[in-house]
Amino acid sequence: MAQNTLLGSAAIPLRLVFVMWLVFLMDALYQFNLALLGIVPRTLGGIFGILFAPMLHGNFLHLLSNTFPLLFLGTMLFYFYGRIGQTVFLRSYFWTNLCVWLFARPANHIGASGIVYGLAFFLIFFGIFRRDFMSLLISIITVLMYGGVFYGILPTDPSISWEAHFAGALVGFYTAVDFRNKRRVG
Amino acid sequence: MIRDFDKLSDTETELMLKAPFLVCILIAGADGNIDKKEIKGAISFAEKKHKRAGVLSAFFKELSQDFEDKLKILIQSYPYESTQRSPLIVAELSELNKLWSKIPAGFANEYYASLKDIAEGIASSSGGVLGLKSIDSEEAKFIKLGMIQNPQVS
Repeated sequence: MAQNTLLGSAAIPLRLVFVMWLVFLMDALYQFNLALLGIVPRTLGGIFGILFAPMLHGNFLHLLSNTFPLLFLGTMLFYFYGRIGQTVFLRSYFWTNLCVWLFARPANHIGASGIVYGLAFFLIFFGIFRRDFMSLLISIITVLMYGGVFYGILPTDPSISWEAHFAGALVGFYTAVDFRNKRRVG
Repeated sequence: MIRDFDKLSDTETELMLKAPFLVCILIAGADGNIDKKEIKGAISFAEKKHKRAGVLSAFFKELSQDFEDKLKILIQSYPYESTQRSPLIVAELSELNKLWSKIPAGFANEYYASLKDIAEGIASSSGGVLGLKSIDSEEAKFIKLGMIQNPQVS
């Protein structure tokens, strides 16, 4: 049973979202052109994007579309799976971006959607693998709210980094497999 | 010589330097005629960009030299009829997609953004009443530069 508070569980996602908005506003106000710090696969300069890319967003809609799922999925993760939440979150962040740097097409990849996909796929498949009532319920809620992630891993639009989505999905899936037999997760 | 074009062949470098002109011709000539007001708008826009753009400053310096003459020469090298000219230009501009991986991402992003700005700048620089609704349907078809992929993905 979850013992964390909702607000406490939202702390890490909120911090990331705060930085995302701060970076976006600073960039809009002072024209730093921070988008150049994105992940450019297999380049030395682009490696910094593994850390910075999730904080960077091309436009307001892009920022908004990542804000709500990050807060919702991130809070669910830390609220219900507090003991493994940090590991899942960090893997979704760094492993996903590392995969993008290693395997994605040559372009400047920005945005936090890889993390969103990592969290969503973890929450969906963790429930399927564990099969206890709460995990399955979380899985169903995630599918109902973000079932579109299955479509998002396909290369449909050249302006979308489907590679980041796909990498996030793989990381989320693998992490769910990895932790499926862990006894205490909440 | 622009340092960011080190990995490009001569033909590819030429395309990079030609693309802003191609955008000018494509948008300005979409309605059938390329008027001087539109060309002037494009020239002043490129000059403004040249002053404020960081990574593109060397590029715009080269671009702004004899801008009007280069544009006129290029216009003459394409068919007079926009219905014949536009498909040729669209095909040429789509070749830029292959070059993104050969130039620095920062440059590619700025360059792409500037092409979009130029397209919009030209389209809104002529026609309409008091500058309102100055983008006609033929121009609107090309303004988004759908033939060129955004080098930045998210």
